[in-house]
Amino acid sequence: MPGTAAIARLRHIFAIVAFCGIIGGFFALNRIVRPPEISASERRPLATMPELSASGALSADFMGEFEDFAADSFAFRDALRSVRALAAFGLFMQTDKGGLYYGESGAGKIEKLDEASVAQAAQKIAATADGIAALGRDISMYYSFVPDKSIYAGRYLPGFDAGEARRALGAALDGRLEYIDLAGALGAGDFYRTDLHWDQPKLMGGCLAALDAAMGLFGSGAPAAAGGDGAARAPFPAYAPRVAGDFLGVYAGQLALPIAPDAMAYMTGGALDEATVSYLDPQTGAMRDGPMYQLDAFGGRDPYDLFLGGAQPLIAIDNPGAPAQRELYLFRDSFSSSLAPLLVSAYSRIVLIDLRYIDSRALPQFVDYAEGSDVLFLYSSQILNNASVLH
Amino acid sequence: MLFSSLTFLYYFMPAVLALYFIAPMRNGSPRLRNWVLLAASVFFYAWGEPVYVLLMLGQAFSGWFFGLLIERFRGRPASRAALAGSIAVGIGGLMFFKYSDFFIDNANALFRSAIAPLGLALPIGISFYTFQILSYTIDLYRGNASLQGNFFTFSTYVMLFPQLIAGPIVRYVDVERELARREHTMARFAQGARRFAIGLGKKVLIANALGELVDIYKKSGDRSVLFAWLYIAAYALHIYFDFSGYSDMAIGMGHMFGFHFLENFNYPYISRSVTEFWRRWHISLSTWFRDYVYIPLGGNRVAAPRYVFNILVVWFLTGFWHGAGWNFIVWGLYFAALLLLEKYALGKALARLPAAVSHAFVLLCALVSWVFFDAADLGGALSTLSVMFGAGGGGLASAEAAYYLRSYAVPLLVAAVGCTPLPAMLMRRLFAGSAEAMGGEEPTEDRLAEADDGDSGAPAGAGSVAPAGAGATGAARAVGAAGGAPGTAGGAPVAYAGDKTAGVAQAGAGAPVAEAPVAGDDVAQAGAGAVSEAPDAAGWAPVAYAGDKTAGAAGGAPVAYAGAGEVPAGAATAGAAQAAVSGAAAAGAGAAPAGTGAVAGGQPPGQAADLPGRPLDWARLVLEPLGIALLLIVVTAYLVDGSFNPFIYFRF
Repeated sequence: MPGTAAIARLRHIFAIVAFCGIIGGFFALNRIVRPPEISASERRPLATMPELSASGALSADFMGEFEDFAADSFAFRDALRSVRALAAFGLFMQTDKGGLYYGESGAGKIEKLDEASVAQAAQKIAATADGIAALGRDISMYYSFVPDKSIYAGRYLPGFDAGEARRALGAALDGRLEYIDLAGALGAGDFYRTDLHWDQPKLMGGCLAALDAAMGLFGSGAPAAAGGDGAARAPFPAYAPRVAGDFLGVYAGQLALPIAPDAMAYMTGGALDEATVSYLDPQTGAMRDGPMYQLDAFGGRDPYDLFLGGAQPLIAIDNPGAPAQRELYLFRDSFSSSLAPLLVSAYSRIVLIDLRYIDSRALPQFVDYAEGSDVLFLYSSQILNNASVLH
Repeated sequence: MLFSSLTFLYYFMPAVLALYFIAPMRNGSPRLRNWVLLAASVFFYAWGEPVYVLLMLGQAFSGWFFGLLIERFRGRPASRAALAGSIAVGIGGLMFFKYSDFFIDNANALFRSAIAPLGLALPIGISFYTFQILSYTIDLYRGNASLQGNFFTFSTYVMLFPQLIAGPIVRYVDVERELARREHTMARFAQGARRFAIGLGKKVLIANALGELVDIYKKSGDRSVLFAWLYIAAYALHIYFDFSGYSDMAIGMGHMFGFHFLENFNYPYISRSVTEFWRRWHISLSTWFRDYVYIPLGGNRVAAPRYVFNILVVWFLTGFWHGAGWNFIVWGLYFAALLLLEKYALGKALARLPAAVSHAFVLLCALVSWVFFDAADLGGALSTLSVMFGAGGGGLASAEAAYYLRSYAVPLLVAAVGCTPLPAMLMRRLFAGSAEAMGGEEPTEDRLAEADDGDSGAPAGAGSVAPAGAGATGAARAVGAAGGAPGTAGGAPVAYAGDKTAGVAQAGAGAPVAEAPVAGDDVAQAGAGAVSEAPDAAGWAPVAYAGDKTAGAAGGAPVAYAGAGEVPAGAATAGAAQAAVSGAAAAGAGAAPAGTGAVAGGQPPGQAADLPGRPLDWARLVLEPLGIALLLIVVTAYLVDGSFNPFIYFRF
């Protein structure tokens, strides 16, 4: 039987094999395994090998880009990212991984309120609202925000503070616009478990009711029943959900944990089937028709693009069966892509304006605010925290 | 390039290791391998500092050239002038690139002038390599080092990438012999691999996680007392694991390439006095200042006012070395004040206090010091201190602080336990039998007891090792190498097991660092050198602060490492163990003649009793490589996922 000296020699050999096996093994694998161009789980293009140039090398830009490439092209990258997540949550028992959390309410990201950014967003909204008010038309203006889902996690998370956001926005906007409280109308179940967005069928509950209560969207009885002001109103809509398929949201990809997917569904029927949608073509400046739900986008990089095609500067939804001529101008982000269809029956026309992709100074070319219309500014916490993206 | 980067781990390192070991040794000379190391080092540095690589080469050339002049004019005034020139160029470069804006800003504030700051980027590692170059020219001038006539070999020493950007500060005398001739063994490579993997784990898994918490606090507006203490506790552990992890990686790579670098940390947070803390923290820097500044100023063999002045100067410089800001200067002077306080007032009281109280005192002092160290400026430091002590207006605790305490509880706990010798002691106890028979190789976490493997032999125990942790390390290493008494002498570091003994060893071993290589050749000379230098060194060591004159007789410690140095190659055996143990014990008594250990030591290799393997040995055989592989995979996972990975040495 080998003695301890022999075992010690073996131990050295095994240690070297383990060390060099991992270092050399990954070195070889990284040469052999061809990295993908896109990370499907993170929904982003992966870094490619930077081109070497004298200026790039001297400025060390090349080195920085090479580091990115080394990480993005690493063999078995997704599996390793899962190992990291399991180590953070399992081994070190951390409650989040770089701000990403996962719990009973699903996955999310801890992101604190950036007060300066919220103030900047409020100023942007106020300036736009002032411009509309200066037209001297009978236009009702509202504002609200979609709170980050972390506030519904059922436990304390040092992230978004809805009360603080309300105060910060209110300080600049109250008196100019009417506030609609969506934070109190939503709950954890209204959002996808794996994504930051809300789930369209769930909005048929509290969210739509809150908007209705504030804006007088729907009548209480039969079609075209009169609202409180005597104007014709459509009844509260009764759409049917249709499932597009399983959906792994952005947080699932970032967390790299084995999380069960959500089911993505979209509402159909009634006015939704009759409405027509046109999109602004940024290249030509013309509006072109398109579907409300772009089912082919569901299989793309971001399945949420199913709703009104994702990032779009300007969209118009026309409802030929509207009980009255009433228009809504919705200043919005991606959350409204799934909300706006649910409002179709209440309006003859809904115009969605995304100031991330169209400059507010260019709006007069495309938007003529109609008499008696509504304007709603609705931004999510992500936009409030990154207000510089609003043009 | 960071060690903790994918580029280093999976591109640079495998390529360099392959090239290095492909390069043949000719007649035992590693000349070709030195070339590989030099080329790799230039590439390594240029990767992060493409332009400043020329500055470093220039500084290396000046050190080498002034070395030639020192030797050429030895015994004449020109030799001294050459030394002055070397210091002027080295310190001048450091001052210009690191401190010019500091001086400009202060001049502007003082004289209300408007001189534009130069805005120079700090060349990474300039503080480290400048001190390395100076150690060569000063030691050469003193006659403690030999001339290095080959510029490329000298450049290899200066630019050796494992220790280039974050230390340890390796003195030329410590690697002089190994630059010319060194051994590469499987055992040593394995030891280096283990050490590197553990250092990498310390850096990526613990230091980075705690650094993330530090970053969260800084970005948070929460200023509760709990969060402030959580922040500074996390920072204290973060900087320890970051820096010691980097040192572990450097030392581990040194082993792989056949070098022995200084130990740089020795469980500083278990100290019972601030004096002891500085024996255990950044050892290569504190011993550098001791030998090249403090002792030349007169050490402690001067009148009290002069002694106070010496301490203030040394700690002013220590603080300033760490960064060009008043907060660093205050940080250094804060330690000077604490050291003086311990010497003249608290020292004996601390020794008499229950261990828990003295430990708490040191931890509190250290935590407060890190506030200054981590602050952007003095105002920021004072603001943080006010929050820590309840004057920040943020209340005692907050939900946010409680959340992060919960989230980082395990990393904090792992770090708190990991910064003590407990894990190493546990491992040692578990595998005690195998350690004995294997020439005392210990789990790598315990750097003090980290023995050189049985077949690596003399060069390890020779001078290059001894200076590592000053005497205490040397003694412990000798014991560990011998595998004498696992769990006792070789266990919780000798320094830990008995502070007095450690102090004596440290005191004695401090000065003779320069003599260490000689010790390998001539034990008596080494011992003599040690004794003659000991009193000065003792002024530095805590025992001497406490007024223990026996520290001056610290010949004991050098005996221990001289003994280790005398162990023939491959003879880390029980016999050698006994020799080293006796040497170390004698060191404590301060009475053993130099060379005792050596005389008793030295069984030829292969004569150690080969005990039958136990089930635990077999288990270790499987568990250890598995652990290394898993550790590397998890670390890689963190790096691939783009986790928080700061580099804190940019300002050193």
